[in-house]
Amino acid sequence: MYSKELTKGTLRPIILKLISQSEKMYGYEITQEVKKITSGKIDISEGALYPILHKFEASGLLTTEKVFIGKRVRKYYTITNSGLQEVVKLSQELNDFINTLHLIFNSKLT
Amino acid sequence: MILSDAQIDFINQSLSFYGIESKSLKEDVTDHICTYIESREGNFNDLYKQAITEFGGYVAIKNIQNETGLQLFAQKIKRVQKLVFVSGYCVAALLIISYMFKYASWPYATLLLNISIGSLVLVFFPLFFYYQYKKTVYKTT
Repeated sequence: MYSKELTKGTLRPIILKLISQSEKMYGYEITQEVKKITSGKIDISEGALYPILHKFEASGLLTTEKVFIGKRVRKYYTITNSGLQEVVKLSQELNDFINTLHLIFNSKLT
Repeated sequence: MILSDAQIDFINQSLSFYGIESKSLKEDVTDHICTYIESREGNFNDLYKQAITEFGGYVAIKNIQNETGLQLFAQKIKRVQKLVFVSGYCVAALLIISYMFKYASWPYATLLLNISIGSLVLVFFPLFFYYQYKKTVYKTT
């Protein structure tokens, strides 16, 4: 598992990208999906997930749909159009960052 | 295991007790813990303790509330900052124009001057001081 310092800056893009790829997702599903895709290497802590989701919702990148399951409420998060634009922007930035890191860590030292 | 209504109530109340104030956040965290417990088999008390430990304990649960509040607050403060900037710019422009009117002795110069001074006192100053106050609150938290 990667350290928190390493994954900290990538959580926002990861969460937004995941939600954009499926129709709707809820909190627990997001943490499990990230674990599954990365084979447990990236573990989004619940403490970081929900503040980010609420911030995205407040800034209009996500909308929520409430579904009652017995006595409790499940909130499904769906991406909005401005959220989709943000995903494109964040993905480009992150890919560029990966390429830049590649230049440093995979270059032959002279 | 399947949770009973009483158990869901218990989770809800314990989250309130441990510092989750926002209704929307509580719904999220309750559902998270319920799903965690329901996807496993065993005794409720043990699974509930496990779920809380996954979160990082009760202190971490209180921190989720603080963190969410701060994230939303940061956004609000940015909006106020923009408003202060825009209103400041408009008031300054109004003042310059009205002084120009006054200097050239054009009609409605006094009215314009009154409007610009009024908006300075009633719009810009309150916004500016509100922003300064909020900034200090944000820094102390």
